[in-house]
Amino acid sequence: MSVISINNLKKSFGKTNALKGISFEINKGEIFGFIGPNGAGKSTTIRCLLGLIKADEGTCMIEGLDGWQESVLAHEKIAYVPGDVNLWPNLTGGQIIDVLLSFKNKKHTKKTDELIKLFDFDASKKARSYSKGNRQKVALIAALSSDADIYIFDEPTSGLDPLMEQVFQDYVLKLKDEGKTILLSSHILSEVEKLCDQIAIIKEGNIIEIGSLKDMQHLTRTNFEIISDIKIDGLENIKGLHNIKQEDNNLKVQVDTNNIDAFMKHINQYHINYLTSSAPTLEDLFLRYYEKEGA
Amino acid sequence: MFSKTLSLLWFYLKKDKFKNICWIIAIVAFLVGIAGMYPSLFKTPEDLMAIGITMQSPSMIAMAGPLYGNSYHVANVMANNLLIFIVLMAVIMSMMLSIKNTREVEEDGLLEMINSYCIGRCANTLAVFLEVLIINIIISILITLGLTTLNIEGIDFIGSLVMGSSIGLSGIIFSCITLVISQLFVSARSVRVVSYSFMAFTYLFRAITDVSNQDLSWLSPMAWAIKTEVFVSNKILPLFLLTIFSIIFLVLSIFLNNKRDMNQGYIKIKEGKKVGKGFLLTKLGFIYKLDRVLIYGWLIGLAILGASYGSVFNQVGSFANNEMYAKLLESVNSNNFALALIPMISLISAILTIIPAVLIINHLLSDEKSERIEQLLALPMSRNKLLTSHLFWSILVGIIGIFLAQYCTYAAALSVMDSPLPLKDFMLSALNALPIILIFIGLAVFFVGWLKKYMSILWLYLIFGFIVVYFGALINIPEWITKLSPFGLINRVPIDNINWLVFIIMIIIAIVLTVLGYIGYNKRDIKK
Repeated sequence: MSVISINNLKKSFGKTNALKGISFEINKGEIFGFIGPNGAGKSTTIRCLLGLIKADEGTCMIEGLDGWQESVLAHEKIAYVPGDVNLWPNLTGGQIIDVLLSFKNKKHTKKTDELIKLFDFDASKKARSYSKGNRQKVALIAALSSDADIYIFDEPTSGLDPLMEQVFQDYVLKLKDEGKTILLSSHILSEVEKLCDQIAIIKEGNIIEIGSLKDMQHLTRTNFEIISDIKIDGLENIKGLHNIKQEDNNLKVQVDTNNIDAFMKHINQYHINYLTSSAPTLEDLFLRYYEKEGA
Repeated sequence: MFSKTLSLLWFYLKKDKFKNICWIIAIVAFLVGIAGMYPSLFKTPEDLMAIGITMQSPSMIAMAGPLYGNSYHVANVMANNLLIFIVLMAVIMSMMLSIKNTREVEEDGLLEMINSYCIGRCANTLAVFLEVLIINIIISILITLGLTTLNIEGIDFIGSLVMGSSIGLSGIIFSCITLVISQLFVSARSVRVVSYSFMAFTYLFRAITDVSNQDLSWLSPMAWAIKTEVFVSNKILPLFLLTIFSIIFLVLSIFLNNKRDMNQGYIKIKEGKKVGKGFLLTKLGFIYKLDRVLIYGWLIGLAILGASYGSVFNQVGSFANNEMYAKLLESVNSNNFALALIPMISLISAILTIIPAVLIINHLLSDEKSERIEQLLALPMSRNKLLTSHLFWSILVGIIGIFLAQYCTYAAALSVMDSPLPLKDFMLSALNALPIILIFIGLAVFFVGWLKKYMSILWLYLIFGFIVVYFGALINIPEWITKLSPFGLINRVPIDNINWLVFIIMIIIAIVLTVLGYIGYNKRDIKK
């Protein structure tokens, strides 16, 4: 059953079409990665989902509740961490965490204390003195200790150091084990690659690719690096080879997934000393989608 | 320790050029401009006598200091009326500059960058001092020349020089005190709060001691400029004190600066609360906590304003000799000058009550601009509830503000008048002005709902209201223009009765505006 479903979402601000028909579904217990560069429409989609802005067309539903019409009911089920967290300067971090919790009808629990410790956060300072990373921790701690069904993170780790990023990632995996649903918008691709079951790539207000990382990799190329006794000839006769780099008996090549068989048969004629193959990383995929139209 | 001070000074002078020139012009033009009007404002000895007697009343001595001299001249009256306010302007300018270029640049990390070049540890403090010194010297010179060239009887060169120097030196001494304070605290905000509080304290100390025991007011540096008894006896001792203590504070600040590390201070800020409790965790409590300083600051201000109006009620008779006031009061067609002042005071109080009330509503917009509001609206909190929590405090401040100001006027008037006016008169007048406040709150909600980018129009409309109130009585503004503002619509209570029809219609307009605002706020996008 899909917990979040977004259907043909369109939104324009004046003359700019920010969203041009976004659709995707997130199933229960899934971590859904939402990637794209700044300005592609990630945050706009999330804001529509949260009922902060009204879609021109299309719907977004959270557990069957309309994101705009029934936002208050929908928000009882979710926890949200914005990308750029701004706080009320004259309250302390601890006070803000407790205020945010209480407005969700939740209390400061042991879990809250654990999280404060886990994120190594000083809750006694006034918010005006916090750095970006510390402001993000306030929102993260409040969201993570609120025990929601659905978590929506909009670039949650952009201000955190690598250690804290790791703490966050571990925690997200723990939430997944508990059966929570997570929407993670990010442009830290290694993070998405590591955590997400489903990935959507958004570009200029359209979703251009959606599926699991495996599915996406399947659609694309595999990297090969081969060292043979003698130079491998006749590569020009094989279809689906890209970016061939050959120096004597050293070969680097990208092969379309459906041509791997033909390629392997060809190189089998040679004596191979060394071979590695690697699936493309999300970064390779991402760059390819973005290069496609740029070229 | 001080290397490159002059390069830094040159940099600051260039950076702050525009701001400093504006301040210099504002201070000099304000003093010389108004001083130049005095001979025409007070033509006869009787005019001077009237203002002189007014200035001798305790409330005026508290505000501006004692009026020196055995007789009333344009020179000593002008110095008494204006000196303290010009001193305050110079002090505020100097303090602002001293905080901005010391602790604030340090907090922002700019000083670290500057100091990474071959610049002495204390060069910055000294450069800021020199910048303030130069500006204050320019102000002193311009005031001396400006006042002398006015060619007014009694305003001679020596007196002008004393007045100019006392103003400049007052700016310098408070700058040096601020330099010391900015060594003590780590955050620029603490420095600002402590410095301005110190300034307010010296002013209040002077106000109280000037009324009770003028020898004691020597303890306040804010009093020293007045103690020169300028144009009367031109005492030099206060100028000497200002100079000596400026040097002492400057040396102290450099000593403290040299001893400490970058981004450190001498006073640790106490730890804040680690958890939120009780009232803070309710919606109303949360908004209250955010707006607490604003609410109390304005209410205290309104109370003081009301009390200071009330304390002059025994002197309104002597105001009648003054041309401007006479004209003002003539229009109300009343012989009871004191009674005639009440509607005016209630309208001024209403204007000053509207400011905090609208500021509270305006927080919805500033929180939206900073994207703080997203975190609240992503919780199970409806926009209506959020708006209502702000509206609650706005209306409460609106009601308390106007009645408090009027009550303080009444209480102060009670203590000074032989036959005091009844409380009822004041309260009815406040009640009469209440719908204006509610209309402005309604307008603010309407703007938040529909026209968030045009909130400044509301402030302009309020200024228009002020013009209607203040100048409408002095010069003849056509009635149809005054009626464009709610300030021009209400009766002058207690001279007239409350026009209940207008009262109810205005309340209805306020409600309609508020409801429309709610509708708009629910329909629109929340975004930066």
